[in-house]
Amino acid sequence: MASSKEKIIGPKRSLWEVNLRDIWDYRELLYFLTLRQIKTKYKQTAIGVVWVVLQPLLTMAIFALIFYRVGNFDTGGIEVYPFLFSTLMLWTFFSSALNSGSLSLVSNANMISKIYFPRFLLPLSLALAGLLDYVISWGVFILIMIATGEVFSSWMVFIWVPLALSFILVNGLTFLFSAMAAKYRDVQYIVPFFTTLLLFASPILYPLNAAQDPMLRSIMTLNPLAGIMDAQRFFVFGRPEMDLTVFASSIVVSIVVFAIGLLYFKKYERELADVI
Amino acid sequence: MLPAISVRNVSKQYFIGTGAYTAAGSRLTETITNTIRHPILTVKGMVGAKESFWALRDISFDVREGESMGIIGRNGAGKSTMLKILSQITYPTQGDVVLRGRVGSLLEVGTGFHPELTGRENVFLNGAILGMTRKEIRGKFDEIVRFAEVEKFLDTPVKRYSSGMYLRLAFAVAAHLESEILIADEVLAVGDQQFQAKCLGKMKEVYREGRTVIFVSHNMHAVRSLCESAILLKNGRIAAMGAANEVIDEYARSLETANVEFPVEAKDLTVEALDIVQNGRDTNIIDGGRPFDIIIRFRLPRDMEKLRMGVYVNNALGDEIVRSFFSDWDVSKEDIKAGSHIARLSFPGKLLVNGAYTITMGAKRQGSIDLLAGHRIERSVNVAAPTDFNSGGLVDPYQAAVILDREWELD
Repeated sequence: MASSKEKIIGPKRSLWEVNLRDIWDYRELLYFLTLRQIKTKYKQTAIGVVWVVLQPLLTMAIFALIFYRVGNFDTGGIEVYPFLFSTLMLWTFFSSALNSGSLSLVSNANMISKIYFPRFLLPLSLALAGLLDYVISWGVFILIMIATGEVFSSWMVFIWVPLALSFILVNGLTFLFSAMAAKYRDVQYIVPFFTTLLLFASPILYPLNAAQDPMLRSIMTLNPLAGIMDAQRFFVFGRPEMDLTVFASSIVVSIVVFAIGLLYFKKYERELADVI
Repeated sequence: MLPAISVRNVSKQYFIGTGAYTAAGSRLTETITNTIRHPILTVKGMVGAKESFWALRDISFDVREGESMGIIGRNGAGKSTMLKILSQITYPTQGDVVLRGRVGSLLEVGTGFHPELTGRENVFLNGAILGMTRKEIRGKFDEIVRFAEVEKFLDTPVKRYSSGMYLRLAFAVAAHLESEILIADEVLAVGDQQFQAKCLGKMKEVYREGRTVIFVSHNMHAVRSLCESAILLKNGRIAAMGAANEVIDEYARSLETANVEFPVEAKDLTVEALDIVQNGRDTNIIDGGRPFDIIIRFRLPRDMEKLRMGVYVNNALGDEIVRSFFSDWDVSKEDIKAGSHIARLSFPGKLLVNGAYTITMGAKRQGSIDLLAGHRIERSVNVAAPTDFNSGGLVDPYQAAVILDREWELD
């Protein structure tokens, strides 16, 4: 709002018009919303920030103890704990951003009905706040690597790529779900279920090459998280060999999901205060 | 020079059932079943849009740069919708609004305040939500804190603040917003008397600085003291527009819903007038802080006994707040001689909370015979809250039917 000289508020606006000026004008609000999320997330919890790493750690422990002792998956020679944690920490970022972001408009309904600001700042700020948690869990991951004697591969220079793809994908999904949730409260029941489904339908707890069945294979190609998780593991350990078809597909699907989410959000953004 | 705000033929339509008038979000199943049952109609948008109404219809007005304009009207007249359109929260169905200059809108104070954050953190967050830059907030920080009188509690989470402190801080941030156009809802109704005066002063200062102000309020005294012009909305249309004083008088006249034609001649009773008098004149707008008179002029054709005559006061929800009869404290006033009479009641101030009331005359004989059978004698009045009453403001709105003109003693 800062310096725009003349503003016209009318009934229609083109779907394609993305107001870049708005984004720039409201960059400080994005900063403060992200800060608010970071500062308040673990307030009044006894162990605070420990929760950030406890979630992937506990999931790792459960799956390492039960499934890998019983099920005997092939990790390609990688120690089980770092094998699981490398993808679980990215998954924790993805799933918590997805869940909180999808409800971000509903839970800030009061703000939306009282003041104008670009609405997508709400889901976006939650995803940005989640990045800090991800960085913190890297500290724990490095300790796990050292303790288990695993070494980082030289592919580590690309470790930001799976993160960037997850970020794009999760924002596309939260744009879509948060705008839908404003109108249809059903979304808040669907998203947790969808999240659980994604966890098991993606190579997070198992290697991608465990899915050899043709049907599973095509699911992996369509599921953008498959390529992301496979790449995450490869860039950390340098093995097992990356599936480039699945990876290329996940880049395309992530971008398509982002575009669909953004367009849907833009289409319903102006109605939000009326329906929420 | 071009006006700061131009509103051109603005209309806003809501769909009942799918829009703002449903309590929660609509269900997906409804859409799905509709789509399955009426696939073609759904695509054409003919199902689901069952009923609609126009919250605003063909609204056009201009606000000059530096002008301060009030928007008044009864609940449901479209004031809030107009405010939301001007604030870009919702969009018009037809027509458009042109705003020339930086806009600050205050539909409530403390939007986005987080109870777990400290006062300092909330000032920056709320400032950013209102559109201030970090640099601006930092520059005004000391002034904001001094205005809010919370210096000692800056690093305390606001959930530990009293409601007064909370509101003062929230208003202080809003008051220091430097916008060329200020759009404000009844944010003045916050805090204690002293702080309210300070808020009103700050608003006047904003206006004197030559900034454009749009102010929506139920408080006619505040509108009168703050605005030079006003528009009156009625059922989504502009009912009057012009100088604030004239529009407020027009509003007062429009409150007389039931236009009772005096004298009312019933079989055994003629009522010549039901007057509501404050400041020596008959009025529909009452300052709730001071007493007013209810005066009934009537004539009896013959001597009558066991009369129970007086008034009922009902609030906007229809609840009976007061029943007051001539004979409440003196049984001899049940018997009234033939001829003309004037009954006068001094109704105490500081009793009714602000809002719309109906004052209805009642007259019965022997408890059951209605002397006014078939006639309804009533007046609609609007009571403004006593200016020195500390309502607790927005965080803790009072729900009671009456207030007491009594102070607690606290040792």
